[in-house]
Amino acid sequence: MSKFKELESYATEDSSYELLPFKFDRFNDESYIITNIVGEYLLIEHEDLEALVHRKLDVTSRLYSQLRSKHFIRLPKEKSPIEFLALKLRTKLSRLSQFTNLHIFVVTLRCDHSCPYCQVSRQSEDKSSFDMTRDMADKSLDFVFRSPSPAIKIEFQGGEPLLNFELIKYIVDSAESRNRVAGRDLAFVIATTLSLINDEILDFCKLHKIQISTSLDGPEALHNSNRPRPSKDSHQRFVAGLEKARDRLGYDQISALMTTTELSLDKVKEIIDEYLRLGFKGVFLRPLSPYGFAIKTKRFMAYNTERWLQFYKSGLDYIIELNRNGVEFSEYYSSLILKKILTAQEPGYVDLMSPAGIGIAAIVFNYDGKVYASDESRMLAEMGDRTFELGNILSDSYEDIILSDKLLDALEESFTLSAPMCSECAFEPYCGSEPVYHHAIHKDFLGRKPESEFCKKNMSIFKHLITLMESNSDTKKLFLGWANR
Amino acid sequence: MSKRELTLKFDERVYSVETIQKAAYRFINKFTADFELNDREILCHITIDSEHSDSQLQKLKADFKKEILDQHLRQLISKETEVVRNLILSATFLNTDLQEVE
Amino acid sequence: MIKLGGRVIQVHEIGSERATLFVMSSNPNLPQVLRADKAFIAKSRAIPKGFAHYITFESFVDEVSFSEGESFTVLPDEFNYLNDDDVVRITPNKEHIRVLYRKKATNNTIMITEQCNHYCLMCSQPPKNQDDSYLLSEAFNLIKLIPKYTKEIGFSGGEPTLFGERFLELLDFTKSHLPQTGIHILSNGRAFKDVSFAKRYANINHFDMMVGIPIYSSNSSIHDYIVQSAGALDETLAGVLNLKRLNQKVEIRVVIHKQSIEGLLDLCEFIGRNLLFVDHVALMGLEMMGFTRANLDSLWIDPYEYKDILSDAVSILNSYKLTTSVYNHQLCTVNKDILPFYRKSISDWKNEFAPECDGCKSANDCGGFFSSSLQHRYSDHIKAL
Repeated sequence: MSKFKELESYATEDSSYELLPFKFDRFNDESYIITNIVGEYLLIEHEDLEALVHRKLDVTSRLYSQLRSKHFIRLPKEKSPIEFLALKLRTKLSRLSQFTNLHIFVVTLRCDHSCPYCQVSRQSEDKSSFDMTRDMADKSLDFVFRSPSPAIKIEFQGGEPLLNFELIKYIVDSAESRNRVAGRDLAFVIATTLSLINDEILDFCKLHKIQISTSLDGPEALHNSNRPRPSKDSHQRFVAGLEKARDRLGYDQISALMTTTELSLDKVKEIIDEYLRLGFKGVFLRPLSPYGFAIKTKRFMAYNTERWLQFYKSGLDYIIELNRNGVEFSEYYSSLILKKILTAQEPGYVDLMSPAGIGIAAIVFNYDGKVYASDESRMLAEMGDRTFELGNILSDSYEDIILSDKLLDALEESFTLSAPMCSECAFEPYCGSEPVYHHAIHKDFLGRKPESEFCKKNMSIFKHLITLMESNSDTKKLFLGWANR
Repeated sequence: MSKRELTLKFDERVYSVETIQKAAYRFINKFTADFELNDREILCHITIDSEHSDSQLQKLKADFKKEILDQHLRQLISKETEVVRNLILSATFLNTDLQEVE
Repeated sequence: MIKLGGRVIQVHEIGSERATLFVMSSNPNLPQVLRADKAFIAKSRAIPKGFAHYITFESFVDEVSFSEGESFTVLPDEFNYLNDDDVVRITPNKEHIRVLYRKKATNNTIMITEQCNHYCLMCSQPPKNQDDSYLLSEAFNLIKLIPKYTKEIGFSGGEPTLFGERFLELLDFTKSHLPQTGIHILSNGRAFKDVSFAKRYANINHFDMMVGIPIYSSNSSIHDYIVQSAGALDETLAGVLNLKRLNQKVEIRVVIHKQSIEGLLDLCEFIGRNLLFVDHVALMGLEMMGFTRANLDSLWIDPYEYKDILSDAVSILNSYKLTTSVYNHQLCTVNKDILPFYRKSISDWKNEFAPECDGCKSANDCGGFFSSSLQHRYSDHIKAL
């Protein structure tokens, strides 16, 4: 019909578009990656990047269309791209205003295990001077409820926190009582090996809806080498405890984390199989942290980034294959990162936040009354470096601790958007500050990123995940599901 | 360990010192760089302090030059998008949601 | 297909020759005081007195006879479905009837204008650029006659928001007269880019009001081309944003055809990244009415050809946890994975089945076809399941 105009009437003129803020980096030998201000990405060839900036792009190409809909460019009159970018950025940053969510209570340093990589000391069960006191617990709870966060998670750690179960009961009761006024979304977790679980403990957990975060390093031999117990039965006790806990509390109330040691590195498939065998729906392929006994015993020396990346990539490949064969199983570390790549949400994982998650996303109350900016901060202190020890809960106020120069300097100096190389890095929206790691290894909050194993590792993971998605649409579908959980 | 040194020259009218410095920063684990200005040239003295074959050296030099080009492009983009970036940020932190975006 | 409008066989109207609305009644014992504005459906000799008008059908003409002073209309037998509480418009000087509301309809939509600021390639209600404000006035009257128990009514056009303030008044009026009835508006959403208009819309403060807004591509060149209006997408998106900031319900509707299929997955990703807050996403098959036939060459693609893309589209939307529905497709042309999202939706006055459907065991679960599709074009891959 002559009344209808052709497509060409609605196409735009060549050079009339405006650039929106974006960053770019070399992705591989063939292409570059560009990311917009909220981390949406496109892979693009170098000549197209030049054409994009110099206004020589073919406006009928799919690339041009994608650049517009992913908010890399806009036409001068268009307002909605600005509004959408602002909305998405606000969503990503909204967690900041909610402030500290995770509060870790180290209720005792005593432990029935003596794991070589563990940052806590190998204290035997009868030394009760390594327990948190009620006074510390009360003051810590005062601190907890000063946080404006609508959701509060209290996590009990140790040593083995169940060795001080009396205090756990006290804290849970006290927190719930205070929450009747405070009205937050309050959740409790106990991080335990399950070796000491019994009916009394399970009853209490059931009553107060406490979740369990436990540890499974792999099949029996591997798990037991990582986690020595005098009776050499860590794995056995774990499986028994797991079953009891699932029976009593519910399958979905128990989650497991692994710790990667040098012994794990060539056994990723076996580890995943063990998780499958024991009915878990996913695994968290964790890097080994360079803290605590790990460095002291020089095990860290044996560990290096390349080998861990191999471990991670093989594990991920295997998991993707499982899914292709109809087995629903997730990799949780990748899921966190994919959430940052594929959605506007911020998963709130302390190690991958900028500003850093220390203090403002998580905080640690130690058994001795000291307050640390994060779990890693505490581990660093055990090694003699007290840079991230923010104060003492018995003598310092909330303001003393949360507004301390120690914390604020670390946050400010490590902020990626003002850091050399980070500020212009295309992967910055997916990455984090990690001042504790950099201080431990490089002696300053920022480190020099070209030398940083943290940077190297992260970039490798980002590139790997994106390459997998771009080369296989089924993998992309799988990852999209993980990202949105 | 033998040190290899070489000097690269850049025309000041084409690249700013900042551009070359930023590029050099990315190679900080591979070489150190000293800068010198004369007339209209920026001299970049590079000291590579580990063993490298000639071909590896050539590749390093080529990578460095590519990175300089990339930094130059980044500067261009940054300058061009500064205004709209501030627009987005101010829209992000607006208190009421219903102001018109100019 | 149910006939909703057409010529009457005979009309004898004592009062005005102009269009009048009547509520139907088949109750001979209706209290006298309630008969004054109603039309009685006469199918036998017994004619209760006191109704404003009487309706009968061709096949009853021998049995039924009306007295002096009674206005009546004889309708073709196709209108035999008319029943209590249905509302019709009879225009004596044009010898025309139009059914405006049916109690048994799966949805009732009131068209309040045929004017539009778009000119969609596949428009099923081609715009007419003439003053039809009588439709809006009539809508006010119609609202008063619609039963209070009605769950939902729709407003469409053309573009309903073209009336500006009057349209908002109509919505408010509907809230007053039908306080328990949900409202579904079909609009291109552009009027809501004006913040003050959006605010006034929100101030109606309706308990259940949703705007269904079509977006055909995240590429504005394509979207603007499909709706034949430059700058359309940007304004529509601005409208959606305003509505959402004011906590109003929004549904995104996508009609799938040859022009929109290529960018469908990009659009779904766009919705997932930018419009996560919308209340519903509807993916719809093409209807063969109006402009579609004129533009068939540019628009037609066999749904069977794009069924895998449709599956991917639903998968993306579902990953982002967007409430998604697929309408106007036949069960044998889609993949099984979209069944949880498949809606047997085609309005009951439009749908039928094809000869190829004989013996199909899934017919009851299937939406069937638009009658217009059966007449003009439907999938080459229809087969009984």
